[in-house]
Amino acid sequence: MIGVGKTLSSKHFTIARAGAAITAVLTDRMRERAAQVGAQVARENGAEAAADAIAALVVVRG
Amino acid sequence: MRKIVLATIGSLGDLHPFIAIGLALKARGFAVVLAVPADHVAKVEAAGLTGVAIIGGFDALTETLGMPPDQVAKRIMADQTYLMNRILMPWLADSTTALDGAMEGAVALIASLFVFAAPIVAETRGVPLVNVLLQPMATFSAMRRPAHPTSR
Repeated sequence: MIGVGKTLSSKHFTIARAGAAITAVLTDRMRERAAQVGAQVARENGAEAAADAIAALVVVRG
Repeated sequence: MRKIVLATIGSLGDLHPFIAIGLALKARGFAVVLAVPADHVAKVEAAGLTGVAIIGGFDALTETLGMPPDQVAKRIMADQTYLMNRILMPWLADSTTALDGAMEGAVALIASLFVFAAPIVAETRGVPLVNVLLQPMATFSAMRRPAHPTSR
């Protein structure tokens, strides 16, 4: 569990459940955790890694 | 300049990573074309890439299905087969033709899960296809069927 969100079932969706979930994600603890995960994801630089892999594939094939 | 086509059909959560990869490929000297739904073309062009429509936008979808946008979204979320049977499959022939046109002169095709035209076009044109899996539910496994909490 990454700990930065809540999941709601669309089958059991109610305004009360949505309200509780929104309240639960708007806590300082959740914000801090989201910032940590955000920093981690930003360091991964996925787009550059993906572009390198794709460029290498095209070069190999000529 | 070698041309690469990136194709994605989905929400902005699909489009944004494709724009990022497209910009990274452009920086490496490739001519990049993004093949996307009609209502995503402007966003692609605003990011400095070439955009081509390979499927109608959400407005075309709501018109075809005769339902308001919120109901369409609800149906798609509640029943994955609805997305397949009523949207992606009926639009497959046209999107295959459009994607094939966008692929003229391209050396590779990069595509997300719901671009069912991608393997068809890549195979007929003899170019490599790179599948991009952006969602956990797109990572198929023999051990556990793909699912999210509301799928059936």
